[in-house]
Amino acid sequence: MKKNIVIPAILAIWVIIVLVIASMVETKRDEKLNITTSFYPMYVATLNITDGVEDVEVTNLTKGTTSCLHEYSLTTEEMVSLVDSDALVINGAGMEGFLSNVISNYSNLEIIDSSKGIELIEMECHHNHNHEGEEEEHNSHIFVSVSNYIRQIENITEGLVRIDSKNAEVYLNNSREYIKELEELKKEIENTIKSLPNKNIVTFHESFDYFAHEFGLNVVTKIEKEHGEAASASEIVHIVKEIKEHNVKCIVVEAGYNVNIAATVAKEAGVKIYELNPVTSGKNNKDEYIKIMRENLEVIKEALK
Amino acid sequence: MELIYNIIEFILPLEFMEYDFMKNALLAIFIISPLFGLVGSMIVNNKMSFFSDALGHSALTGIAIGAILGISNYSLSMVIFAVIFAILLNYIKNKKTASTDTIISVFSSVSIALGLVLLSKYGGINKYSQYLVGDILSVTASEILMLLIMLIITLLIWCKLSNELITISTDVSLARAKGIKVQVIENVFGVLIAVLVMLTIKWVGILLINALLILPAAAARNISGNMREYTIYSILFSLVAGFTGLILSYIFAVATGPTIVVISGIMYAVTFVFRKK
Repeated sequence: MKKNIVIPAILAIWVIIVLVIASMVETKRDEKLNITTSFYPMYVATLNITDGVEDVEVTNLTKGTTSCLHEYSLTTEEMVSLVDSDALVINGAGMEGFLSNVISNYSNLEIIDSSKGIELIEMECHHNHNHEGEEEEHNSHIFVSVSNYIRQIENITEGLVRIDSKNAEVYLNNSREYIKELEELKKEIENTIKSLPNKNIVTFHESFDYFAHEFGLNVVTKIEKEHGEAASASEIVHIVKEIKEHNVKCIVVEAGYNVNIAATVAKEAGVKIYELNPVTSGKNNKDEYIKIMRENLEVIKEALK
Repeated sequence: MELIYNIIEFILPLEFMEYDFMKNALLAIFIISPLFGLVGSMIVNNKMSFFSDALGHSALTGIAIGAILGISNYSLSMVIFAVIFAILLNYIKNKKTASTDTIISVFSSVSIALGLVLLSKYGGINKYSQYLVGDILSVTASEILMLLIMLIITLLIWCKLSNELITISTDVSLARAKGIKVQVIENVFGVLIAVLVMLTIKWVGILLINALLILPAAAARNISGNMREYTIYSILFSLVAGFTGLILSYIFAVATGPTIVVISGIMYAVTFVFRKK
């Protein structure tokens, strides 16, 4: 019965090896104020507000190009960085559903909800849903509207000032300057879109609702009524009809999304597809929001001329 | 709970064990993995791997039904649906109209299709995609207690049924001749698997749950000479894969569930090479 010892011995050695490796891993700790942001637009916003502050470290929780957080699940490393941080900046309005568990478990984590005071657009519910206890009743892509984004900057600044009062002056200054730039951006977009002859568009899903609402674009219909839900055959026919009826010239999709169905619709209706970025992914650079919005504006000019 | 946390920190003085969520995950794994090892050994022995797989798929329908009825706790609708599913499957299987794997495939694919149809009408599959991969790191203290109760119930059932199940797995007609109520026992076992799968699927995920159930038992089967060895190895493999999987997933910052499955897979490969011929 030699085997009786061999297998448990191998398993024990394996466990010991893993434990030894584990004990050699050290997580770095520092005296800085660690601020975690839930996703890209919050990251860019917080980078702007904390610009030039030495002892603050801003980390984006969801790296990579996840454009929406609906299907996100945290890795152990992300979980640790979250538990280690002093404050968490979230978009709010139901965007961070995947964090609800975490947030309720770690109540000592300071949450800065940037959606405070922003008027939300209700989701178009064409099914009878049972929304009890669910968070996604509203469209959560508030940051795609520049005015809302400015409001979010104000909320985040307020939160940061509360947590880290010794740097309050810098935060307020940064925020003021950034908002000034954003106001300019807003005016530019407003003027450009006002001069366009045809304001009817079809979008892929709900991410551009706030943008369209702010700048007077008319979203005739959406290809995906609900996130992740493919349009059925009859819906495609309906969309094509609406496109023709309203003289829509373009379908606006989100960069990085699978747009097969949009392509089918576009071909059927004889219109073109244009890609916009709802500022959910980009470089880790504080000027990125404004840059991406300008690029979007160029695309819209081209699409609606 | 505080006491258990302190004990863990004392035994495992590792840096990441300071985090409560890691302690919770560790506790959950210490309960789930022996549970899976034990039940898995019975599943493999009774050639029911596809049965548990089909049950995993039926979770989707259970969720959909829960969403339609507006039950906020999907576990309830999932368990109820899965129990009905398991009993119905056993019933039709015993009619012997087609081979077992065919019938299980029919059930498995129909239930996943039904789930998708219902979810496409009533709320979109994306909201429930967490159930596809699961997330062991989100387990809470009260849920660990529930798992512990599950473990105790499973052990009780196992003590009562293991001999009968072994007899059934070797020879059904012999079991009948010995006066064992084959159908009743198969149903009880089916319901046990159903409840176990549904209550753990939130952390393990539909796509991986069967791998965790089957792989340790399959690896144990490669090298064990008798039933006792087989059961013990199965539990041991499951436990070691779960524990080291959690730690390695932390070290390399990768998803936990799949890491455990990969380690179990390696165990299977190694035991296959050194199997008893």
